[in-house]
Amino acid sequence: MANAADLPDRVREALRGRGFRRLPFPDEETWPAAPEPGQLRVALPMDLPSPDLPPRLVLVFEVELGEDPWVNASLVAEGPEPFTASDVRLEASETGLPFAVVIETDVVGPLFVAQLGPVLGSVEPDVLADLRRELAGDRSPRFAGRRGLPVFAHEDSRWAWKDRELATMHMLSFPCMRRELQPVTRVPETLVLVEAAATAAVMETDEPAERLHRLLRLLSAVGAPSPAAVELVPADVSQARSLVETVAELGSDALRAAEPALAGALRGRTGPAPRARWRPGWPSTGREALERRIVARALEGVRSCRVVTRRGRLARRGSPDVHALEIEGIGIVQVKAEEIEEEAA
Amino acid sequence: MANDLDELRREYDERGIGPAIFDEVRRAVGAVVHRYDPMVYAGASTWEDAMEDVVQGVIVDVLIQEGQLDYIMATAGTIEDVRNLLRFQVKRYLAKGRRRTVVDNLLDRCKERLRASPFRVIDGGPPERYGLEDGGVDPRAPTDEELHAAARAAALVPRTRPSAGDRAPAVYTREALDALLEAVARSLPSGFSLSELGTILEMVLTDWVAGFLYDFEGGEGPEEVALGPEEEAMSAAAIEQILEQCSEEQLLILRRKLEDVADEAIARELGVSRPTVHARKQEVLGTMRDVLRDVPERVQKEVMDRLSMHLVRLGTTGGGADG
Repeated sequence: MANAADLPDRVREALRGRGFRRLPFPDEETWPAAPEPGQLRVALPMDLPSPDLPPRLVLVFEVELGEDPWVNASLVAEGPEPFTASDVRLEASETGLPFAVVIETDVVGPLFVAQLGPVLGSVEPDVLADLRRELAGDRSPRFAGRRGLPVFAHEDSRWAWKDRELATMHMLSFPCMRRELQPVTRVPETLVLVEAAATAAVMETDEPAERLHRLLRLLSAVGAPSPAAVELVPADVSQARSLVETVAELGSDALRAAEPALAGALRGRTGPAPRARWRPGWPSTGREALERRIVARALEGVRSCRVVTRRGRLARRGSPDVHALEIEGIGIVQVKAEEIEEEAA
Repeated sequence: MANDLDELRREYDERGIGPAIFDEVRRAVGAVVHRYDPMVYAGASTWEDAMEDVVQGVIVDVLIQEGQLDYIMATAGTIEDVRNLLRFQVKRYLAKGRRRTVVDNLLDRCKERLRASPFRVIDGGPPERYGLEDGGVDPRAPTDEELHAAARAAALVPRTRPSAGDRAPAVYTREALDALLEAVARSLPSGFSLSELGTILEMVLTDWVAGFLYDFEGGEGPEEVALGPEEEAMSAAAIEQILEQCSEEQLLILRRKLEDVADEAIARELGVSRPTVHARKQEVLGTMRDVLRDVPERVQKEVMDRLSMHLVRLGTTGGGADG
């Protein structure tokens, strides 16, 4: 170990023979981020910056890979001592981590996949199954002697601590929870952005009727819950004008027939050019236009969307192909990337 | 030295701990310890005397041996996250040391007490094992599960809140300590050593650790004001009412529920059905609700403390398998 002489003897002695297991940092790009039950990962807050809400370790219990990929996860305590009867200690040998962890089986919430950092460790399926029993209120014999003691008085400090942990999980999971409660909160259905690379084939013909035909075929292939949820993201002003002209040149009958399919396509919102970071990266061509559109929608509260692009454009990293766009001053927007065949466009 | 996160990460990557991380730990210790009495928390007259010991203790015991530096570097997204987590680990180090001191003092009191009735040495060891005078069949070390069950019983015994400046807080009155030892002995009919008793006491005092770590009330603080004569009378009357109106079985069920034992396990222990346990539970809770309805909150606490003392002395062979 280099320059160990600058440390006290006691520290040097402790370091000798005890290597540090280099775990990925929370913002390290070691994606694919394909989530699986049993993974131990760091959960990042959706709103950035969040000085009052630091990243926290979580254990993934369930994975839902629908339009807005999300996971159900429980919070991991900040220290290795189980405080209450709902807190279960797992040893390093059970997780592959270099430290023991305490799973708070009573602090559970949904998180967007984009909130999750790299995989740090995992538990075996049989351990996870027993932890699921704990979530349901059953006490598994496996964890006998590895829980804290029950809390039965409000003045017990652990009561206030558990309240605080629940509040932390609520803040981490609120954006996803709001999304999943869609019918109740009336948040719009999942936004689908079709980036310029996917519409390139549409623009290859000058024939308005053919252009419209290709556009409608593309919108149909996107598979959005409704046409109103789909927005085209032109690469530049010139492409935007071309799309508008395509519609303007339609006869009234064709326009009436096409209108439902085009309900959202030409909406054309745009936001300020953001300082943003993609995890993992996104190809540079057309990226700025896409980011501006996402910023515009994020300012309206959208924190998750699908982006449809041309097949082969992205280096596929797993299923689902989830990216996180971290926008300075706003936070994380989850982007589920989907590719469609060239002929669909 | 001003560090940034990248610099700390580089150092961690290259060598684990170097001067930058060492400096951050020293900064964290300096930020935390000045709030606490150095004599109480470090056995030193000033923090200047104890600082280096504490810094090295945090690094060796917590960051290296417990792997908490790996935890910090894997979860921190900013330099402030690192510093907050280091301060948290410094507090953990101080809390564990303090708890150990309190436990050691309690064990000193227990050592003598366990040699007199109703306790005795049931196995000369080493280590010596203790138990009730009428116990001690097949002395052996308890399992972790049994220790946990004993801790759940011991946790029911009311404690006095230690004051912040008290180096050696009593924590338990003489009567309460007797009740605690009796509860532990009943939970562990095969006996227990002082070390195992220490483990139980550490578990019981975990709530104090939580309060210390997160600056919640319920930890150390100003001495609690005793009840006045009228309040004492109210408390005594309430206890009498509860004990008159509840059967032994109902009280045992109450005790087991406070120990977080599932209804099914209680039913097995008592040889009754689970619905019966549920019904008895509702009955005893209803009785307590009625008795305590118009009683002031601080008197309620006294009532619960006294009731707990009665509960831990119920003649049983220990808690359920859960926990």
